[in-house]
Amino acid sequence: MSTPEPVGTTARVRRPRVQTLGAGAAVLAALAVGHVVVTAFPVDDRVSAPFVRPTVVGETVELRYASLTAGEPTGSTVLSPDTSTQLSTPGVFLTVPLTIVATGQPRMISFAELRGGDGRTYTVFTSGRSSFLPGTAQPGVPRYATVSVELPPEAVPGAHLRIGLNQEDQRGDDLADIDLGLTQADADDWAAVDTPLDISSRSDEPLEQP
Amino acid sequence: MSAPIVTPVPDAPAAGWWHRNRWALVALPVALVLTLVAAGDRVRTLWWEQDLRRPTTVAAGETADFHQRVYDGLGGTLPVDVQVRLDGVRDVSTLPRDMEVPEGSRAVQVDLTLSADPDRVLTGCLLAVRDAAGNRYDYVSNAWGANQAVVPCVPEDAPGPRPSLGDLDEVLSEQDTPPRPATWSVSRVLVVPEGIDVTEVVLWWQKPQHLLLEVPS
Repeated sequence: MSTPEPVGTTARVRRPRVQTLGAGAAVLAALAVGHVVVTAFPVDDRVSAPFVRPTVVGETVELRYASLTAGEPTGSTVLSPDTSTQLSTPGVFLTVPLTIVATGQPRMISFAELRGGDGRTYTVFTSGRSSFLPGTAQPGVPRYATVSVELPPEAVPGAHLRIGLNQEDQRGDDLADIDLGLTQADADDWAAVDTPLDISSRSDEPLEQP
Repeated sequence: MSAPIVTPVPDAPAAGWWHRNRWALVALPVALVLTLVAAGDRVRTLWWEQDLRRPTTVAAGETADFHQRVYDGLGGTLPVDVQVRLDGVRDVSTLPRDMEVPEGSRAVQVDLTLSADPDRVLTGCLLAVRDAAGNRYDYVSNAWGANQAVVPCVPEDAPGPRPSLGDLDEVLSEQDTPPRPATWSVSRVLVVPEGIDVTEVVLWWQKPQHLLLEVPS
């Protein structure tokens, strides 16, 4: 410390070793704290979770992209869709008529799944025996569609139907959660019915209630 | 302690830090820009190109020149060079065959006059109208019980060339439609709710660019 040298040429060399180590430790500590902050709280699921909008049968729910109203659910062991051949099941087919009114721009609402009362999720996809294909709804012009889901009778009581815009991705968007208000009695009734249930998968006209 | 040199304190250390780190300081804004660009590499494909964001606004009665290069699906692009004029939007006098307008709705007809080189590929255009509140109502060829032209912006009997499908072109039959005229008119019917006023007609090939044709009041 007694013989100062010209500034600039040897500054790096003269930096105390303790200070360097201290800076390195501080960086590592900051990274560790950051890691703890990011992982300690289980927020990943909540950050990407859909905005679930609960509703019940007969009550209109306003979503970002449409307003949606579910009609009275019904069921049978035999389904007669207007677009395919008659289907029968050892379980039950549950059908729910929906009225969709798009907002802002035309919307093709394509996601549906059933959360069974048994805690399982029953998916609905185009090529399966469960179906939901409302097509494009224009704003302000109601579109009528029927969801049909094949499921075991024990999943019927307490089932909730979920409807969303994008079939592939519901993250961060509105998702309707419809409490269908079903009981064990409904499940037993439907499991005993073998009258074909005529359903129209989509229409511009109000659906006839069976 | 006989050294005659006087150390320039206390300002010198501060100046020294800036001097020592000058290249890092120069690199810092560059690194920040690169970070933003790298983090935003999907903004274009996942956001910007997903909606109608670049309008070519056309005043009522005017003819618009519209130019865009659209992706052809084969890794290249195709030019769209077209002139468009909105002749009018009116209530439909005769509905297209089999069309049934749902209750609470009405059918409106959009009349357009377009001009383009007969060799230009114009398939893939989409037509819509907007109301004063900004709601958009799309033209759907197969809806309300009717079957209208699939491509709303070209004549049905002379749509002009179709885009190349790559290797499939060899197995496809030759197009036998007559060449598209240099100028033509189309009338398309859309269904909108009763009680709305159509204020704009929207025509586009690929988002985000679009033609925004104001409706004469």
